[in-house]
Parts: sequence; C-alpha cells; structure tokens
Amino acid sequence: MNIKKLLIKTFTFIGGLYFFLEFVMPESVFDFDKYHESISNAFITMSCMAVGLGIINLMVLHLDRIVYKKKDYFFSLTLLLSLFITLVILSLDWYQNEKIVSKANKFLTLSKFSEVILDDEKAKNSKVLAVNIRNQKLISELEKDINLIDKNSININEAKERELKEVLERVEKSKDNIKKDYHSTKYNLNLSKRLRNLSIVYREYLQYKNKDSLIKKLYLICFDGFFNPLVMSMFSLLGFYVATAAFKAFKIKSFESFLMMLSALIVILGQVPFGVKIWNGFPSLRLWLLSVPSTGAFRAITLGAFIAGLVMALRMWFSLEGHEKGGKN
Amino acid sequence: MAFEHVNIVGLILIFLFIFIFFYFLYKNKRNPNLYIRKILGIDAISDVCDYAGETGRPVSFCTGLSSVGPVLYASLGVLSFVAKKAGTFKNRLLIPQYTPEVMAIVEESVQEAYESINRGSLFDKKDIRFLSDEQFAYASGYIGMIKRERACATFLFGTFAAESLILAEAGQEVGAVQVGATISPEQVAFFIASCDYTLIGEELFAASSYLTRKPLEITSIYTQDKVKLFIFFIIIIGSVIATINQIYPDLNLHNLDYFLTIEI
Amino acid sequence: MEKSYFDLLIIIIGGISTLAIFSFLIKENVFYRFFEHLFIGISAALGVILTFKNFLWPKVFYPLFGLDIVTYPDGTISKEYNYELLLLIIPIILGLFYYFIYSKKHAWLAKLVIGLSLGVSGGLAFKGFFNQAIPQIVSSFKPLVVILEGSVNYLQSFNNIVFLITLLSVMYYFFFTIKQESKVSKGISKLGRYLMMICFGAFFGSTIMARLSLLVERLGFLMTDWIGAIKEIF
Repeated sequence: MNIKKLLIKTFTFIGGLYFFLEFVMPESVFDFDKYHESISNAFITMSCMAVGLGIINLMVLHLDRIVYKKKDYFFSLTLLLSLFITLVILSLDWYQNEKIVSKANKFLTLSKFSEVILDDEKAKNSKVLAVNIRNQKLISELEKDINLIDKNSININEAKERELKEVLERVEKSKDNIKKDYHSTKYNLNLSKRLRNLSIVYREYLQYKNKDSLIKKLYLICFDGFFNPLVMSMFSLLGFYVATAAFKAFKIKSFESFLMMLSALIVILGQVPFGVKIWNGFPSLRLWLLSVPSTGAFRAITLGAFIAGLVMALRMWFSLEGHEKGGKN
Repeated sequence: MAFEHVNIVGLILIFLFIFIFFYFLYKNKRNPNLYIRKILGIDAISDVCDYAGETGRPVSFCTGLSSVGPVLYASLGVLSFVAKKAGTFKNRLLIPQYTPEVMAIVEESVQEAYESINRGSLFDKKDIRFLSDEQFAYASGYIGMIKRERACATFLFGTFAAESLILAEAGQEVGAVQVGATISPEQVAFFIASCDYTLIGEELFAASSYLTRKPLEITSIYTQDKVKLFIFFIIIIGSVIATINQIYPDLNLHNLDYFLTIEI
Repeated sequence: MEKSYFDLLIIIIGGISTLAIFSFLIKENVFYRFFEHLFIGISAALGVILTFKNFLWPKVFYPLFGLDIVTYPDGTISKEYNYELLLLIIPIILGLFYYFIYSKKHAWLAKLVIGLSLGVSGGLAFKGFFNQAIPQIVSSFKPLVVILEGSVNYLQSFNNIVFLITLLSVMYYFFFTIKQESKVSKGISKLGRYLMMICFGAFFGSTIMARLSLLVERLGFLMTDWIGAIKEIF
C-alpha cells in the first residue's frame, strides 16, 4: 500500500481511537478527564484553522471575474469590497473593545495583586517583598490608573456614569484606609472586591461612551442596517414559500397526500381562533396528533438515522470507503 | 440518562455491533448479490441525472449545513455517483458550500470521481463555491445561483434547517427536477411538499449503497437492518416488561435499561 | 422616543435590504443580486472574525503567547507560563495543512487532516449514539396498559398503543433487506408510510404559523418603522 495512503488511514484511525477509548474505558483504568478538554480544544483549533479556505475560494472565484471582466463582475466587486470593508470594521471594533477591556482589566490586576499580598502575608511567604513596600506599590499604581479616568467628563445625570462615580468613591475610601497603615493587610480584601467591581463598572462605562464612536456607528450600519435585516428578510421569505409549498403539497393526488393534508389542516385549525369556533376539540386533537403519532414516527425516523449514522461512523473511522472520498493519491 | 462512560454491557454491545459489521463485510465479499428492496426515491437519482444529460443544463448538488460527520460521508457517496454521471454527460456540476472544511473534502471527492471516469479535465474547482457559513446568507447565495444558472436538476442531500424550504422552492421556480434527502423529519415534510423525490431519514444513508451495490456499501445496509431489528425487539420486550410492571407492580421487574446502568 | 438621524438611516437601510430580498419573489434581479453579494461578503467576514474572536484568540493564541500572564506592580507575575501550551502548535500546524489542498504535489497533507477530522467524527459517534439514541429507546418502553390508582387509564393506554404501533410500523418500513412480499408485511409497511405522512403533515402545519409570524414582523417593520423613518427624514 502507498505509504501516504497508509499514513492518512493511520491518522484517521488515531483521531477516532482517542474519542472511542475516552468513552469506553472506565475511569479506574485511565482517567481521560484531566486531558479531555485540552485534546478537544486541540481538535477544534485544527478545524478552526480551515476558516481561510472559504475566503480564498471567494477571492479566487470573484477576482477571476473582476480581472477578466466576466459577466456580473460588478457584483463580484461588491462582494469583495463588502468582505474587506466588513473585515476592517469588525477588526477595528474588536481592537477597540480589547482596548476597553485592557483599560478596565488594570483594576482587575490590581484587585488580584491586593489578594496576593494578603495571601502571601498569611502564608508568611519570605520570597517576596515586605508587605508595606508591596502595598505602597499597589496604591501608587492604583492612583496612577485612577488619574487616567477623566472624572470631569463623568455626567452624574446618566445612570452608568453615576454608578462609576460611586464605585470610584468607594475604592478611594479603601485606598485611603490602606494608606493609613501600609504594614497592615486588614483592608486588602475589601479593596480587592471594590477594585473588581470597579473593573466591571468601568468597562461598561467605557463601552457606553464608545457607542457614539465612528467605528461603532459603522459596525451598527453593517449589522443593524444590512446584516440583521437581510437575515430576517430571508427568514420571512419562508412565510411566502410555505404558502406556495402548501398549495402544491395539498393537491390530493393520493391517499398519502390526503393524510398529510388532513393532519396539517387539523394542526392549523387547532392553532387559530377560527378553528376553535368551528369545533372546540381541534386544539386537543392537534396536541394529541403532535404528541402521540407524530412523536412515534419522529422517533422511528431519528432512531433509524442514528443507527445508520453509527454504521457510517464506523466506516469513517476504519477508512472503509465505497466511493472516492479522498483516498486515491 | 447521560453516558459519560459506558459500562460493561454497553461495551459488549459496541463490540457486538463492530463484529456484526465485519461479519457481513466478509460474508458480502463472498456473495455480492444480496437482496435490497426497491427504494423509489433512490432509483430516481439515476433517472434525474440522465434527464440532466439530455437537457445539457447545469446540475446542482447541495450538502446544506452538513458538517464533517456521517451525514456528509453518506452524501459524498451520492455526490460521487452524480459527479460521474455529470462527467459522462458533460453537465456542469455546481456544489455550493457552507463550511470550508467540508469544501475541502468535497473537492477531493468530486475530483476523484471525475478522474475515475477519465474526465479529469472537466473538473472545475470554481463550481465548488463557498457561499457563506451563515445559514441565510448561504440560502440567499444558493437561490440566486440556481436562478441565474438555471439548473435543470438539484440534489439536496445533507443536514438542513429552516432554509430547506427556501432552497427547495428556488429549484421549483426554475423548473428543476429535485431530489431531497435529510434525516430531520421536520425538514423532510418541506421536501415532500417541494421536491419531486424525497428520501426520508436513513434512506439518505442507504442511497449510496443502493446506487453502487459494492460489498462494503451493502454491508452497511445489512448491519443497519440487523441493529434496527435488534432494537425493534428490544422495544417490544421493554414494552412488555413495562406492561407487566403495571399489571403486577409487586413483581417490580427491572426493565432493559437497568443493564446499561449497572456497574460490575 | 425621538430617533436620531443615525437611527433613521439604519432603519432606511434595513428597509431597502428587506425590499431587495422580497424583490426575488417577483424575479431574480440586479437589486437582489447586489444585496445577495453584499450579504455573502459581510457574513464571510463575520465568520472569520467570530472564529478568531470567540475561539482562536481567547483559547489558543492568547494563552500561547503568554498574554494572560500579568506583571504586578512589585515585579512578580500572576502565574508561570505553562509550557504544555506549546503543544497547541501541533493542531495549529495540522490545521494549516488544509491549505495544501491548493498544491498538486502536497495535497496528501490536506488529506491527512481531513482524515483526522473524519476519524474524530467517527469516534465521537459512539458516545453520541448512547447519549441520544439510548434515552429515546428507553423512553419507548411504554406499557400497553396503564393503571392509575387501581383502575385502567384507557386514554393513556390508547395513546401508548398508538405510539408503539406508529414507532414499530415506521421502523418496519425502513427495513431495506427484509423482503416485504407477504400481505402482512406489506400491510405493516404501508401503515408505517401512512403514519409517517400524518407526522409530516402535522409538522408542516405546526410550522406554518411560526413562519407567517416572521413575515408579519417584517411587513410590520416596513409599514411602520421604515415608512415612518422616510417621512421623518423627508
């Protein structure tokens, strides 16, 4: 057998073997739980790296049309421009969000540092600096970061901004308590909690302030202007198509189509007030139809599909191909 | 009832299942003419391909929202068959894609199908086009493509969700002959309404076996049926035990699921 | 609440996008085609960014580059770098093998990763089967006679009998390798088919209302919000 083909089949088998063993092996023999999340993430990472294939395919197809000015090249240009512009807008929006998070996380870092000082003091850790020096550094860093917040721009008439001002005041109080005695860790836990809260509130405040930025507006045009309405409109096309499909399907050509139409009619009449006016038993009949025979048929179909899927999965795992799948090389 | 790990009974069942599969594989290699009953929708696939050959218009094969898994693998079997037919009749085969990973697999499969009938030169990568990994953007791209290319035959094989009706109706509007196949009963209902032929549930998995009649493919169907038969009787026995427990509650018999939960 | 010009602009663009999609119902046209390509372009970009933003960056690259390690004001660090994270380079490189699909000479490397992917799906199927199919099988063990407080509950018993007949006859319909030549087996198979049609009709009927409500929502948006926004601007 060709060595490349053998290698491919080996990789296929190993990929399946891990998850098979993870399921069948009892914990007493080997505990997979320790590594399972990491290994699962590794496989997801591997699949995620393929994300560029779609972009490359789009670019090859549409650039070809644009360069050679083939039919509909204008639309290909539209596609590629919208792709790149959206990439830029989303990237900038992401970057902006990361900047906000990073600013807010400064307080989270100081919160954790305050707790670490307390824990090290309790554990009498001699490998670190003295408590008073660490507290001094904590407070000096905190003061630097607080000074970066432009308190003059906080509008106390706005709820979010008022909340930020209140939290800042509480942090200042805790900070002042520590300043009274750097040797003591009595107020470190309290400061840590308030700093954690400040980090959350400050992030929300910055996101709130950011909503009027140019990037955010472009993002909203992209999503609330184009993307979401396009998604909802496509979804709503179903309303038209379900009517045309019903018109075609409910032409009674056979006993089977009659049964299908009858059950659909009963279910529809059981849902609308008009149906209840004709006969008040329709809602109960509808519920019965959906919960008893439909459930039975649904379960039989899905069970069959699960079994067939399992057989197919076995073939995939052992690379047993009846058709050309990617094994010929 | 959740299974993080299987117990000894479950392990025995799994190995029994693997044994049944390989037993039939060995048996079918010696006797390839095993019986499979007629499945109308699958017979239609070949006829639809022949019809497409007569018209000369493009054929479309849509794998829907399928990700890498058994449903895709089963659909690839049919895709291979359709690709060979399209290559024989020199029809364009349009394969819009939803997932980049699946696109890579489909490209390989179709290329090899064309090469197996010595029509490698007809294979055009640009006909396997990535549309979008967003459900309705994909549907929007598909319906536009079908209308512009005026496909004469469309195959909808794979996993579909709400957009299934949109895809099927688009094909209806251009007068394409449509074969739909999916495992989800909710979407099968829409395919029955809009497609000319529909394969229900596991008929999708049986399609490739039915079309090619290769020993491995026949083995799949035989294994499926044997396991299903086993479950068929399990359900009957389980219901009988449940009935006995209702009539004679003092007996308090363990039902069959007890064996999957005991730890030895 | 009075809307700003920007909010009105968003609504107007949304309305035009909606009309573009609805124009397809008349016939495929330039207007629809433009928005179709716009839609695909935006969603392709969204797919890439979301993949990075929701998974690759926070779960892979961020810890791999040690960016989750912070330095405290006294020079100490929050945690040591976990060198096991360097193993993540392996799936990253394997994932990059997908791009060899474009090379004729090295396409087998892409097949390696494809095979791995297929193998993983195959291996996962056993757990999936036990967690999805087995509970369904177990919940199908329904008693044919239901006794409640000493007396037979005829309605529940009837329901269970109908359920089991439906389940078993539909399962029987899907036996491909059993000859269904006798009258009895043909009858059971036919019964299964008829019961399936009832099931499909019921599903069809139950989704009609949901689909129509989506259409009503969009039409409502056009009639009230969109037209309102145009009137306000002009």
